[in-house]
Amino acid sequence: MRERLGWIALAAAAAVVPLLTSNTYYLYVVISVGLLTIVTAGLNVLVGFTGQTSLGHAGLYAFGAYTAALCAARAGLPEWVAIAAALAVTSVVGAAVAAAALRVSGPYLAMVTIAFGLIVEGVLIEWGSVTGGPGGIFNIPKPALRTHYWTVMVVAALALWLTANLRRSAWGRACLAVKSSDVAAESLGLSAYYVRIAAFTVSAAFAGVAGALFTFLNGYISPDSFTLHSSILFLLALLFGGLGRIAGPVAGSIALTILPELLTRLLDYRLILYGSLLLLSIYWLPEGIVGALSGGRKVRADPHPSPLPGGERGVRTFAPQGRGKGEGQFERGLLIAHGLTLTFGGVAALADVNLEVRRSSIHAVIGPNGAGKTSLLNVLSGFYAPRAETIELNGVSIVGLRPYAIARLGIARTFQTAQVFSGLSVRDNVAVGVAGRRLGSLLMALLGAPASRSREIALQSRARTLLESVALGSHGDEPADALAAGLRRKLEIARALATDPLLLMLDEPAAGLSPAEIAALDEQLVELRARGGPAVVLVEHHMDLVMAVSDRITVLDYGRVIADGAPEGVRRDPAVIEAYLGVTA
Amino acid sequence: MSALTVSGLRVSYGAVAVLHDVALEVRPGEIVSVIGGNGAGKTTLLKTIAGVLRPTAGRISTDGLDITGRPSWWVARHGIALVPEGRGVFGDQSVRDNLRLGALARASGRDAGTLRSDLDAALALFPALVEKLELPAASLSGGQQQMLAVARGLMARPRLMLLDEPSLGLAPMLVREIFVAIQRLREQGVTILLVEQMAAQALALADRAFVLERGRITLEGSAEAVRRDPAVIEAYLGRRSGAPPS
Repeated sequence: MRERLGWIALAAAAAVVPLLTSNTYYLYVVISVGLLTIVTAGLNVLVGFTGQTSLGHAGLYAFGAYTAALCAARAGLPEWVAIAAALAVTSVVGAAVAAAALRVSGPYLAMVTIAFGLIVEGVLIEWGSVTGGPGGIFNIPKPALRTHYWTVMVVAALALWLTANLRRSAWGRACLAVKSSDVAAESLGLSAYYVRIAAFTVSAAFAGVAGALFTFLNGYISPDSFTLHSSILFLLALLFGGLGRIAGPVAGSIALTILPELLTRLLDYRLILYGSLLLLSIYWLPEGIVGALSGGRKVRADPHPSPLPGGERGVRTFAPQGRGKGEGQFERGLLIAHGLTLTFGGVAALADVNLEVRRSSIHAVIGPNGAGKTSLLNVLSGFYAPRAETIELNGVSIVGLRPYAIARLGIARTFQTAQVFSGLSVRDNVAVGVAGRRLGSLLMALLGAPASRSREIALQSRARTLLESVALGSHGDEPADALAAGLRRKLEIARALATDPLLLMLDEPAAGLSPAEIAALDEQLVELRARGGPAVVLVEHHMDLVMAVSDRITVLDYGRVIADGAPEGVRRDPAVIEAYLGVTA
Repeated sequence: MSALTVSGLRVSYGAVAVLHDVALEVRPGEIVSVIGGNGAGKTTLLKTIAGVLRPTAGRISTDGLDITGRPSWWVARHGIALVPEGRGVFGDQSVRDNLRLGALARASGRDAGTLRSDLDAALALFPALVEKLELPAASLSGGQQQMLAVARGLMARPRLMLLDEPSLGLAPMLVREIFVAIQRLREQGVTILLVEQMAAQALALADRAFVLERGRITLEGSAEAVRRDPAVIEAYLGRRSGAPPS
């Protein structure tokens, strides 16, 4: 409510300024706020949502400005065509830069983008015949200041609206998922690389449009406006306003445009002022102005759900004797892996491991700590590249495929240390899995199109059902990182199931669960199998769970398979007792 | 004088209260176990005692020394070692360096000879770490990292160890070993506050126990009495207590 009032007040203020004053200076200042808002709203998608830092957005801003200037001054095209051209050119340039630069991330990406910005600046100065060199381009036909004021305000509002739509869409969740854990995102079929390119492209397009509007503000442009300082200012405005928050860009743009104007006498100290602001915002406003104003995110005060209902049924509904129907012996396995070998610095984590998992079966992988169980899961899900004779899922070879590609073919997994997407609610975590690679059109997501919305409703209701299946229904609106460790594991299972996998690999799902919760997990696994659900590879140390639900057990020790077979046989195998169980289980 | 006294402790994450008026006491040389379901607040309790989280109300003291609201490094230097859930080993550094870093928090015995003998003593509890001493901790399996985390906690020579699910992710043989190691720690005079999902094993080892449910202590008493409580048997002991009976 307060948020809505804030937006209305802001819109009213923007509308009132040109009525109150004919002083062009004030219009000019508000337009500058608008332009900065557009750039930082785009940058928010890249930095705030996706977690990648760019210090080269002045280069993209320049691309937009010069494209528009050339269209309008040299080719004599109308303003709107020039803006559209700037949008198109910066999108293409942004995608190309992203495709090259996003091979790296974090500080390396920041370096690469700085280099990009410097190159653009250099080219603007040196390529005089096109760019006009250091003097820039003059005599660009420009609209009346008042008209332009409205144009910029409308575009700035649009920019914020688009990012708000994006944030609520499957794309927005994908961005936040990649930011929080690209490993987990890839295990759900999302290509982190692709999502980052999309985010970078959106941010480039926003910068391009703002650049074009900047061109039509002054009627001339020169390389001076597109230096590394501008790139830093963009980032600073975003950080100061509130990273990842929809209103952050406006708040930061207002602060960083108006403060220096108020202090024009201190012009020489502008950089010191910016530097101090940056420090100040890190110490006192870690979540920016908007974060400080909204007083931290309100967590819905859900009473803790009963962790242990008294009436827990510890009933086993399915006994293992139902397995192994006659035809099963001739059916080829769902997953067939032969000759898996993986070494770390000379130490064999896996040595010539064979594994065959049947459809709708529960296949446990057990062994001492350090035996290679998690390495095996990492190999099968594509995070480690092994030497292998074959790895086939459903008859398709998956050797050498990237994790997201393997996930798309139907392998879902959980992690030993649960990798929930912080920054997303519990339900949205599952929604990332439900959507998987099917993010829909990025444009439709930005526009909040009805098709996108109806998909969204279906997505959310599926996510709700899945959460209920792991007894997390009442936690749906809580931030995922507020969940206790054991509940995160359950969330991961729901999220993995959301991808409708052929094969579900669980890495110690019972670790940290209470006996009653383990009983519930037991039931859930058995029920999945009874429904003909995905085959399950279960890495687990809770032997009574393993013995109760497994159709088959593979035992690893020092990276080798030391036993493989039905639970009864494995339980009595002297080698298994010696290496793992210690006493008969 | 008690090793740990907690009274009226309240902790919240934002608007959500996680602990409500929790009070407990640990006497020197005891093993005290806290059991409870997921989300009950067990980890929060340990983190608050260790100074990782600040309580909104209440008092925590050790040996009569008020440690309420003190930062975690300060608490660590005053004899309380937290072995966190999820291990938190320093992945890029060798196992040996992880252990050495553990000794940073100790109040005395910082000379090379004592450090070496303490290192040997810690390794004697977890022989599997010996051959891994020079490897980066990240290369250890989950279970070995858990052992390292406990060993690192020991290197601080704590008076009180807070163990958050030490059996998490350990193979059955190692689960037994870790409980044996905890037993030996007690014999060496270390006081232990133990949070465990493997309630049967924890209660077998403990002198006293507390049951934490939805942020409140609902039952306390001797481990023996808690183990016989029908509600505890129903909720926490069941048949599924983890490792096979030894």
